[in-house]
Amino acid sequence: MQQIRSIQEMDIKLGERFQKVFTETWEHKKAGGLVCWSTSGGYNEFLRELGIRVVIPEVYGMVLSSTGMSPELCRNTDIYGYSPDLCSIIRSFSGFALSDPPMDPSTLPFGGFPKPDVLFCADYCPGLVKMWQEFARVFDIPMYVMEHPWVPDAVSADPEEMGNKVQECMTEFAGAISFFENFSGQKLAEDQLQKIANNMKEASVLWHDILAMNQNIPAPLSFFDVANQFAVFQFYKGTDECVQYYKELKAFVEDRVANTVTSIPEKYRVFWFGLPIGYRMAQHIEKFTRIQVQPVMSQWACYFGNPNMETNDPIRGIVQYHNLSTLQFRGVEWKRDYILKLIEDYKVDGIILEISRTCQVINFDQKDIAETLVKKTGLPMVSFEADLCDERLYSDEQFNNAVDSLVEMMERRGPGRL
Amino acid sequence: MNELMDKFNWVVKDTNAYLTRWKKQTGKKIMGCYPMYVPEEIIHAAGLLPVTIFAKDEPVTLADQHMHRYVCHVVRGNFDLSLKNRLDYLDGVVFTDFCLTVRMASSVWMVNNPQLFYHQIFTPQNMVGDQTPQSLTRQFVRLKKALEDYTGQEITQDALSKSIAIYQENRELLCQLYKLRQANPERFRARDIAMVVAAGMVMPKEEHSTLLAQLIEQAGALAPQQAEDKVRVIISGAFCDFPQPGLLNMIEDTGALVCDDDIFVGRRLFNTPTARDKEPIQALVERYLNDLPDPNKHNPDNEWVPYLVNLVKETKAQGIVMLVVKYCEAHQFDLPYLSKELTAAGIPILIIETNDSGATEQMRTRLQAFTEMLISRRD
Amino acid sequence: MITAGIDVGSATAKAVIFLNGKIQSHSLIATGADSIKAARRATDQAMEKAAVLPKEVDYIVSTGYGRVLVPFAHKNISEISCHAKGAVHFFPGTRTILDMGGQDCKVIRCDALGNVENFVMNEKCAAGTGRFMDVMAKTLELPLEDIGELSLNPVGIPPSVSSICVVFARTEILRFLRKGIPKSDILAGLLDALADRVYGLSCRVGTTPDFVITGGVAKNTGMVRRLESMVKMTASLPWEPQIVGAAGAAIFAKQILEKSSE
Repeated sequence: MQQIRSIQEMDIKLGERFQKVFTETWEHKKAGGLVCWSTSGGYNEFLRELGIRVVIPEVYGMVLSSTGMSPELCRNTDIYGYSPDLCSIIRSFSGFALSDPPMDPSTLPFGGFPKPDVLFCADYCPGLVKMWQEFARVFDIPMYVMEHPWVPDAVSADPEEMGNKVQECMTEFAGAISFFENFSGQKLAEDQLQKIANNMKEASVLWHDILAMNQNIPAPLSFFDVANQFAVFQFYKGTDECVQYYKELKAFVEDRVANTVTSIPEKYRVFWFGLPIGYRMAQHIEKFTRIQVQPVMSQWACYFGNPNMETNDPIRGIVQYHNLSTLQFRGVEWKRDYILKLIEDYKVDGIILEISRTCQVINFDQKDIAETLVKKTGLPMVSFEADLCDERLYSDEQFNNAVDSLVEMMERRGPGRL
Repeated sequence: MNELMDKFNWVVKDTNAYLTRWKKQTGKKIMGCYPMYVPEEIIHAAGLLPVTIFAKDEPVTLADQHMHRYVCHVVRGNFDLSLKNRLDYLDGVVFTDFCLTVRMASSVWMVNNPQLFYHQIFTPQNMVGDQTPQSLTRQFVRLKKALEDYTGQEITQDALSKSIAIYQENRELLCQLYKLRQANPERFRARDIAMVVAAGMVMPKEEHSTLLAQLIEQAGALAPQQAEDKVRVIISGAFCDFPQPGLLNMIEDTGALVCDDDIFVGRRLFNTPTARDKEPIQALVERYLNDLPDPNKHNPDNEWVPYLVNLVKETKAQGIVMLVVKYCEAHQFDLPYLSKELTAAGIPILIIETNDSGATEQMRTRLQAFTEMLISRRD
Repeated sequence: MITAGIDVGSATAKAVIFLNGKIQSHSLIATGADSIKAARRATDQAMEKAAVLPKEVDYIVSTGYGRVLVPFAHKNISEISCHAKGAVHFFPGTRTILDMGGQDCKVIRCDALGNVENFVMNEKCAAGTGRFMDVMAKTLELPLEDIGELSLNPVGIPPSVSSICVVFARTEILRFLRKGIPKSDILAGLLDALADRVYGLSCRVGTTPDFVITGGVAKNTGMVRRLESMVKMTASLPWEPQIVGAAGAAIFAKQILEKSSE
């Protein structure tokens, strides 16, 4: 039997990719290149082709959370007067970005990132627009805001309005392209956009294939292992490198499936409804390993990539990628049906509801969705409160109690699905 | 004046009874308008009564099963009323999507109140986007069409123009009332003014305008009162919210005199006119785009701070009491910037966070300290 | 001219008799359920100590949470204004006051005359309040007076406390106890976190010297030392930090009388 590679190998690769992005961004800036701070909601993939390097502070917020730096940075924003009720991802990276005097970047994970020359914000989360406004004032630089419509249930059911929304978004996107062409003084060649769209599609298909492999029993990876890997999308989306990375990841996971290797012994499989908790990831994996509970999937992993995007018109394709795939921007019924299907496909025995206190995008309709999930599947569910980055809103005690009682409930029910 | 005030108070306090009776008498339908920014004129022109959905001054109970506690009390509160059958007079609700919470509230409402007609308008956040006006126009036309389908009757241009004129008359009357107040704020309690404005968001505008005209006449005839040893302040914020009367009274009981405001149930409702002489939908779109600065809207050409500085100057106010609905994300994000800039402009600002637990003693302490500070600055 | 200041707080009621520009006497009693009665008793005690009869007191100002309930006060003034006024009496150079009382915590900036220039008050967070200290002491089964000293002498490395929400505090403390962490170390961890919260609050108005700490929590040396090292300043502590508000009220009473006789 061949030696099965550990997931740590992929994590190391991921770390190298990360380091490369930040090092390159610094070098680019030092050589007089332009830097843009943008949002994970996308549309910024083409900037690279105009000689503008993109930084996604939200992803960096997750890094800060995982490295345990968020509380200190959130405390900075408390001092600036930002309410602790506000999104803690935004507070984490702003605690660094707005620090006065500026923090020494070398004290930050991956050496931090340079100041922006321009700002680009897709309006899928209004909180980001607010913070980008502050960045625009503080750094005194131009900012482009792009409308990013949501798709509530009434629109999901109305193909005409859906078509109109896509059309509007395409016009918005074309507007963004010409804004940045003017800003950079460079022109985007048509085949460049086409290539980006093709790569986005290919990486999306790969990503969703990788996720689907967790339908195997046992699952080759826990959801936590998968959770980290989305990050390559954020920095490399649309590039050959991104496609290459997910090809490697897919081969790696296929290998594990072929050899029925799993990362957590799998007595029970659970669905994680919420967000992964970066600052407790290691402890959570340790806990789940001890009690032999494998979180196999989360709705969160499905936020990334749209395997169904069309590529014949790259502008339409990229809009479809960002706007239509995104589960979190849909209405209650659409999300509920999507998650129900995930729960069936991934054959779980229980549900863990993670309530991220400062992220309304995720938490707002969770209660109604969760209630229906339990009603329709009969699965046991427990919940605990936490937060993406602000550890001060999380309690280990509450988490442990919740997970232990879930195990009791699953035991009473028996490992029915396995 | 007292008789008129009793009427306004009754309409606001017992909206349910008032509207149920109105419906019986007229046989007409009522369309709820989710705060803020629903173009009510279109609903009015469809022969329906547009009514703003407020949260009431009471603890939220049933909504807790559906929404987390970290959702603003306006959204939790009005949804709670719907679950308590206190909004049974509604035939439907029109939503906008200018903020994340409102945007997401529509789906939760639909799932839990399936008997109602629903429509959601996508109101852009970016006021300076290339295609913002066209996009908004399309949304307003879409609302018009949805209402036509609902009532089975066409909404003519003529009907729209008429509705705009009726709404505009009402706005102009409110402007007059506020002019009287600015000149002699001792004559009015902030609570009473809010009641007058709020009543107009419930009752038909035609009826409200008639009563309002009488109120203005009677108030104008009163002898100006002697100013006591009080400081003039402006209240601002309270987006989507009807500030609790107890809190408004508390502000004034500590020795402040509210001489004008910048709140939703106040100047924000009527300050920006709708042009009578333009194509009606176009006029409504322009009103939305040219409306007062709002943290929920991105518009670098229409910033909030200069507007507030100017309002303070015009009204000779000595400070601003900023009412912030807890968990109102866009507003909370603006607070550091507002505090910094207003302080730099020499305007003291007190931030009061509100939720459904009402006016607390801690608020009284801070309001009183703020007033004492303004008095010591003045003397 | 004899004036009195009465500070009816959530935990204690304080009274000060002011005579010839000096604090003649003071009293300090538990508020209990009836704050009017507490105000009366505190005032009676202070008058008795100063050998002053009720009719000899020319003007009374009340302050604190129960200030509007004191029937025999001529006027009520917020404790924010009173603390500033009082602190300047104790230390004329006062520019920043940190008041940590029974149920709230506030930072006040003032001018040389004790007029408030700016202030912040924690919203609903109990960090830095007497209430939180009570919860800690009770859960650890320690006398309230001891926790400050104890926290300054941890045995090992204090645990890092992420959640200082009073809602979670009890379970967090119990978890540490189950792990066998010594009480002194738990206290050190908790007070580090609490002081950090209070420090965050003080940064919002800025701390300019002289820096004065008032309120019941000023008696907690563990908290005071930590805050001093955070703001990099020595704090001035009044000889009785709990009566600063009442003293301020009495001084206001005096100034009001002087102004009216002009």
